[in-house]
Formats: sequence, C-alpha cells, structure tokens
Amino acid sequence: MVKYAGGPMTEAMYYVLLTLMNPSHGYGLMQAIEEVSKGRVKMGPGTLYGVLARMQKEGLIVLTENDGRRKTYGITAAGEQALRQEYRRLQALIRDGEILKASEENE
Amino acid sequence: MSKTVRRLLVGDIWRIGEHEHWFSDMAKDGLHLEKMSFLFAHFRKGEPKDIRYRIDTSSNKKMSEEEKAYYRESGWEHVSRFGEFNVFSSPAALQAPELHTDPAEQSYTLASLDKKLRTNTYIVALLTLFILAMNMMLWFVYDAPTLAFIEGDMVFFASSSLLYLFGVYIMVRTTLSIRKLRVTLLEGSPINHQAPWKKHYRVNQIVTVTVVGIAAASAALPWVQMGMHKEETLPLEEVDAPIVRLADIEQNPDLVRNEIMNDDGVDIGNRVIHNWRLLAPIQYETNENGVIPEEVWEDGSGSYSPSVSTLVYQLRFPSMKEGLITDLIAKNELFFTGANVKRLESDFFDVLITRENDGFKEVFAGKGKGVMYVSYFGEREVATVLDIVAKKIGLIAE
Repeated sequence: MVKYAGGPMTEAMYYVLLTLMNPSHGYGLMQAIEEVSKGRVKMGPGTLYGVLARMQKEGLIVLTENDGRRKTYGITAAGEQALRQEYRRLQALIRDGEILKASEENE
Repeated sequence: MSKTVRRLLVGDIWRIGEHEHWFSDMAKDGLHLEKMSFLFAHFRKGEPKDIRYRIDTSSNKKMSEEEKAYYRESGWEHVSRFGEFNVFSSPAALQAPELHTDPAEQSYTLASLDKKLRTNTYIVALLTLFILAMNMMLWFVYDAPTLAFIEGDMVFFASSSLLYLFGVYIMVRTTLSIRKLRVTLLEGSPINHQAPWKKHYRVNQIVTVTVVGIAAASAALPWVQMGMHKEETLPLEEVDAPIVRLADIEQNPDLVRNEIMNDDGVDIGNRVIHNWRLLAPIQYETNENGVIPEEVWEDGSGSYSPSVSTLVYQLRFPSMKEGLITDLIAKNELFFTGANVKRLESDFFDVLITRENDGFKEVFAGKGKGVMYVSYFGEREVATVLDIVAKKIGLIAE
C-alpha cells in the first residue's frame, strides 16, 4: 500500500473525501460532489474513477460494500485525518488572503 | 464495396489529442472507428455523424468492466482498445461530461503505464546493447566482410537490424512521450482534444510504408535469390558470358571433358551456376575439368588433366571491388600458404593480382563494376589466362 504523503490535495481528492464523509457509490458520488460544491465542481467519470482507485491504494478510503454491480466507498480514519489537515491548510490560505478582501469589496 | 476502411495506425497513439481529433474528423466523413489492430485503425462506413472521441488509460493494469460502466453511465461507450489505451465515444449532441476534469488526476492514471514502459524500455535497451556487441564481435571475427554483404546474408542482417532499431526507437519515443505527457498534465495543462493531426499522420504514413517496404523486400530477398539460381552444364561451344574457358587457355583440339554427372543430369565437373544478389546482380561460378589423353604431365604423373574454376561478379557499386578481391584472396588462402602473390600495375585493369603456387595459377582482376577470379591448374602460363580475362571482363565492367 502506497501511503498518502501529505501535502496539497488535488481538488478532485478533496471533494471526493469530503463527500465520502457519508459513504456513497460511484455514480452517486458524481452528483453528490456537484451538490456539495453547489454546482461548481462537475467531476468527469475518468477523474472520479482514477481518484477512487488511487485513494483506495493509499488507504484514505475503503470499500464498505460490494454487491458486484455497485461499490460503496467510505472514508478511513487516515482519510479523515488527511482531509481535516487539508481543511486547516486551506483555512490558513484563506486567512493569509485577507489583504485582498478590501479590494474585492470595492469592486 | 467494402464496408470497412483501414488506415495506418503507427506507434504514436500517445499523441492522444491528435488521435481523438482524427477519429472525430473521420466520423464526420461517415467513417466510424470500429477497432484498432497492430498496424491499422478499422473504420465502418456509415452516415456522417458528429461524435466525440476520448482516449483513456487506466490506473489499474487493465481497464475494468466497472470502470467502463462508470463511463457508460456518463454517456461514454467503449469502442476499442489498443494496448493500454482505451477509446470511448459519445455523440456530440449528448453533451456528455468530459472523462477527465482534473489534469493532475489524469496524470496519475498514466503512472502504471509509465512504469511499465520504463521497465520494458530498460530491458529492451540492455538486450539491444547485448545484440549489438555480439554482432560487432561476429563482424570482426568474420574474415570476409565484403563477400558476406555480396552473398546476401549481411544484406538480410542489415535490414532486419534496421527494423529492430525502428521498433526500439518507437518504444523509446513512446516512453519519453508518456513521461512528458504525465508531467504536462501534472502541471495542470489538459489534453487538447482538438490538436491538429494531419502533419504527423502524413509523416508517419511515409515512414511506416518505407519501413514495411524494406521489411517486405528483405523477407522476399532469399526467395528472389533462390528463384534466380540456375545450375547447368557448360555447353562445349562459346557462351556469351564473361567466363574464362579451359579450351581457350589450353588451345588444344585434343582436349576432352572429364565428366562428373549428378542426379539432375548436370555435369558438375563442367558447369556454370548463375546467381543474383542485390549487391551483385550478375554472378557466375564455373568450373571445368579436362584431359588431353595423348599428353602427360611434365613430371610424368599420368594424363595431363588441367582444370579451371572461376567466380565472376558484376557489382552494383564499383567501390566494393577492392574489398571483394581482398576477401576472395583471403577466402582461398587456406590452400595457398607460402604462395607468390603479385600485385601488377596495369593501365587496363583497376586491380590486378596474381598468385602462383605448385601448378595453381590464380588471377584476381577488377575493372569498373566487374570482378573476375580465375583459378587455373595446368601447365599454360598465367599470361595466357590474363589475356583471356582482359578480353572477357569488358562484358561486365560497365
């Protein structure tokens, strides 16, 4: 198993982990991600399948159910820890971007 | 009229965007991708349609049915597979979502292919070095390199090496290109699905047709050589060929043949073999054995029975002449240790060498494209042989 080494996540990784806080199956995930991101992120099936396969190898997610046709995935403890760590990193990024706030509001 | 159309498909499927665009353009002309094989993409004739194509690799060793099902649910049908590359199609009107929305994630799907290609390339590179080293050794050990080329073995060897190297080149290029594609994707640049394809396609077509042509020609060469091979008894009368005849050397009406008939009714004691080689389109090999019953050898050892054998080449390139003569001298050296080799100055011949030893008289002559080797065993002078060679070599010099 290749461990996730930390560091910035791709947008796809972040949203899949976020959505998997509630276990979900593949196609349902695509819609759930769109909902969670309020329509901003429309993830392609190739990217989604790729990210699921990779994060499963890295131990961030796990197959919770496999009835042959549909596979249901859930987040692991390591996955949740990585997600929270990324969330804190993103928050720090936002805080550091405060200086832009004034000019944004003036536009 | 055929229902399918084939187009060359060569070694550069890693130009993903170009192929996707090409397949779409073909579909607009009513040619729909059906499958891909070793050398060809097969298209089925139908109605012109606006279809999007996407080429995708899997992060797993093989694209699973599950993965294909994912794609199908999003409107992408699996069309064909070419090695690790899978082609999907979707009607443009359906406006199916892109397969990949994150270039960095797509880069990860190339990881296992990248690793596999690199491993294979290392193995092939090592193998190639080993084969090259072996061949270099053989080449240095071989005592007659020019002759080997002219006799054809080396021509076949050289062209098959060329093919092999072309294969290695394609492999290395694919490996490097996939590596580069991974890096580009990781940096966030997506694949251009509308990349122009015509230029690379044309170049590839020319290269592939040339390489396949060389391969086919070199495979056919042994058969052509076999077809052009002819062995027959030399007629008693003059022949219209640059052959030094025993009767011309001996100038004795009492000379008769020593016949040695084989099963095919050819007198192998007095025969001519015609051969064709790529680098020597005209080749003769003759030998004649005679006896003058009333005459005895000067040392009294029985009836005088002279013989002559010749090798005649008209070369495609006159520059091979020196090398060939050197090889002919070396090849026959076994029987002539301590022979008296003389290189003669001549205004007429480009190369003229004689060798005499114990009743054997050899002439190696070259003029223009012609090379003649005469080995005579008898009591006439070598000057007599030289005169005849001078008369005959004109037939093949130009």
